[in-house]
Amino acid sequence: MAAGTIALIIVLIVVVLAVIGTAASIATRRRRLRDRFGPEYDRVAAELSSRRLAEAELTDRKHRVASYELRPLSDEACEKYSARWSQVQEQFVETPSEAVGEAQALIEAVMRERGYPATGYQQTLEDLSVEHAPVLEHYRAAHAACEKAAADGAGTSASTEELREAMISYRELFSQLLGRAPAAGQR
Amino acid sequence: MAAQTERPPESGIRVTSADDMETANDALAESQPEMAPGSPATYAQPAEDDRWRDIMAGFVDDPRGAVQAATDRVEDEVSALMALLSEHRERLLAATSGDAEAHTEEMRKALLAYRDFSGEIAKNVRSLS
Repeated sequence: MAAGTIALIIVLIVVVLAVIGTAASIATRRRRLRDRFGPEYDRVAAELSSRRLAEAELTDRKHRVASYELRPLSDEACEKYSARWSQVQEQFVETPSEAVGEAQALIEAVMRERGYPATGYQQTLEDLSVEHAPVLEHYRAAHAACEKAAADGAGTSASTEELREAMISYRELFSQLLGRAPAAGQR
Repeated sequence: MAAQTERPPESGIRVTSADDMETANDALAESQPEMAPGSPATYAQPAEDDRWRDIMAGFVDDPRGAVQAATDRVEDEVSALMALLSEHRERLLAATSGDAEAHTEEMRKALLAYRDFSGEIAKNVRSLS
């Protein structure tokens, strides 16, 4: 066989290996992103109508959140926030709407103390999706109920049951951010 | 009965109790209209003026008798109240069909009413001791 032919075969083999390698690493990255982001992956992919764009977006988020250098809360801070949560949960019976608003504010406070900027809702949602994808749907639902309650008087206020469910959703996220369950009201 | 404690006429303990019970009962009735007096439970309005006025009038001639009549009266009312509370709770907790959202709201209001009611009871217990 001529040297030229051998060289060509080698080049082809290298190219094929490179293609396989690239495909494999793309697949790995995709799997990792799906594992990390769960349903959020599918949602963003659907929204952007492209898995490639979705992966770029999610990778951006990952890097952004990594740049925050998140830190866990001190035991003291955990205690403080847990106690505050109990108060808010008690308050629910008297003023459900206000309590849900307080819960949201408390979550934002915890987020900031951990290192998230926690500015607008949309960005907060995106930031949370990196570490807390499983509870993201809860957070969305709770936020929606909160908005509904705030719009009270415009004809579509949230029902007590919706607000109760929002509290539970918020508590899910809250306990994940704290790294442990807050002192619950049920004894 | 223990030694008679001298109470100045202006303290009007019994009247106060009746009024407070009425306030508490009204609070409960307002939040739960179906449990207002006249409903299946036998709890009747306390300050039925004529019956209490008779008891009050009897004091001058027979203080012990008046006290006996008054406490009997209040004991009956408390029994009726306990039956009312039982019935009320049964109804609240048994409701399974219907609008779940409205029911949560109903239970929330009931919870507040019970807490306030408990406060009224505590006030009355304090005023008696």
